[in-house]
Amino acid sequence: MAGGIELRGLVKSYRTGDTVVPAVRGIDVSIEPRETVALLGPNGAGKSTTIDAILGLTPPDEGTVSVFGQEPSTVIDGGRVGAMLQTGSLLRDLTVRELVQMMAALFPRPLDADEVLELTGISSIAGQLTQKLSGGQTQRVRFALAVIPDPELLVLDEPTVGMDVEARHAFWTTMRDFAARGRTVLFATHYLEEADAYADRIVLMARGSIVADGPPTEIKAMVGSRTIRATLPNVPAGQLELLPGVTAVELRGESVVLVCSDSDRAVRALLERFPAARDLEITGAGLEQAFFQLTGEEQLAA
Amino acid sequence: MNRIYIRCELLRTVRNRRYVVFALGFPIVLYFLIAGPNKNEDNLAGSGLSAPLYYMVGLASFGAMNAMLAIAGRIATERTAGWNRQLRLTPLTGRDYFRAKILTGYMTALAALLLLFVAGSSLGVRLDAGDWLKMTGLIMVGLIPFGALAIWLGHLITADAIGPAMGGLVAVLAVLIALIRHVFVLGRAAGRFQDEVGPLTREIGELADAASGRSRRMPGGARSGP
Repeated sequence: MAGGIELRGLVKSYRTGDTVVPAVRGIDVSIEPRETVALLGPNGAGKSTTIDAILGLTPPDEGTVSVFGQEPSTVIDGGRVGAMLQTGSLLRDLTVRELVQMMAALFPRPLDADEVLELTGISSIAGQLTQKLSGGQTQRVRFALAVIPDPELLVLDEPTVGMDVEARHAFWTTMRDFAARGRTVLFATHYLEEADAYADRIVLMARGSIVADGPPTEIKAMVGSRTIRATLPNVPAGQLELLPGVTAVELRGESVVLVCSDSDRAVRALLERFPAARDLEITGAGLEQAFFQLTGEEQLAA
Repeated sequence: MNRIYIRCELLRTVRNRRYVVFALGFPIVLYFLIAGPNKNEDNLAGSGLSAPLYYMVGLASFGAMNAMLAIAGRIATERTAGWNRQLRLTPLTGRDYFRAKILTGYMTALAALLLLFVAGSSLGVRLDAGDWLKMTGLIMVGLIPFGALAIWLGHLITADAIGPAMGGLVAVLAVLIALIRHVFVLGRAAGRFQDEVGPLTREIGELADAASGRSRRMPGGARSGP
């Protein structure tokens, strides 16, 4: 099929001395054209290895990779892929504009250099030498390099590392505008909010395998936990645990926190049996919670 | 292909002030230090060449060689920075990448040559137009192996090892060239090579013999072996 990205039985290990460290242990992923997919997982989950395989930078030990029905290298030679790798600094002794022009000269149908600068919000630093940029500015320029070929597939490996909250927000706004032009976007992140907010679909990876794959809401539903908080003095935890749909109870002074598998049933039962309950608050657990439960990780690697 | 790409490569090289100072300035300074005091020497060591001409050619070749070898540093630095991975995500072919690098090396080598030629003329070197061109052409051809060596080294070692590697390489080359010069140039003056190097090689041979338990000096000395 012409399709998007197809990974079949992808396996990749790295050798360090005598030990073989598996990075990706046989994953299957299909990404449709025009989908925006987040590869989510802690460090060492195999996200970067997967991305390197899709870009043809790392040949897999086993399995196949096809992008738009072709070999990665063929698609790259056609100038149809733009990528922002996790590591890498910029070429020194050129201004930002010169660097963009230099890279644009390599592609068959590049965007105009000024358009790229405008689009990625770096027009104001176009005249600066690349070695004089701040960390956040460098990331923006690296994003600009990914956009230059006017790619059908945009791949971003942890693009917002080193950005502050504001820069991160601005970055994703730019990315979303760009993706809205009908492109396929794949990004890796270990920021759960980013995957939740900006992807149509999340592929959750841990220790080289795929743990879950679906829309952000579905992944949350798989774990299904919501939290009810209420002010309810003088009720023993034991009674609250008996409520339908409640999986865990925590007492914090006068307030109670109920972790629920079915918050709708739980909240009805709560109000029926304990009419004194007030200040009710129901929140989705968010991906953070989903992540812990699905991967069984004790804590997120920073 | 890519005039813009090559232009940017050159621009980067020229903007790297430290590189320019050492690649272009160093041979010039050496030239004036060595040839300056001897500028009236018309027949250097019986070679029939004037000191300014002799050292001009020597240091022009040295500068050009350094300019070419600097390609290794540039490639290693780009690899260390992860820039080659970025380039692998473009349609740029390996061949075009090397072409741009070699071309940049040749441009800086040419600049080093021209500066030395100007310095030479200022110390009174006069040659026919044909000789200038022939000399330039020969040095340019002589640079080919250094370009290949630089590309190989740039991929073999990391940026922080380039300094020691180049230092060692230039030292080895200097010794080799000195030896070859001794044999083929100065050696022409009647057996001087034998006089100077001969005893040295004999001694080395004897040392090796001694180390392996044999000796030609001691009659009846112990012989090892089956």
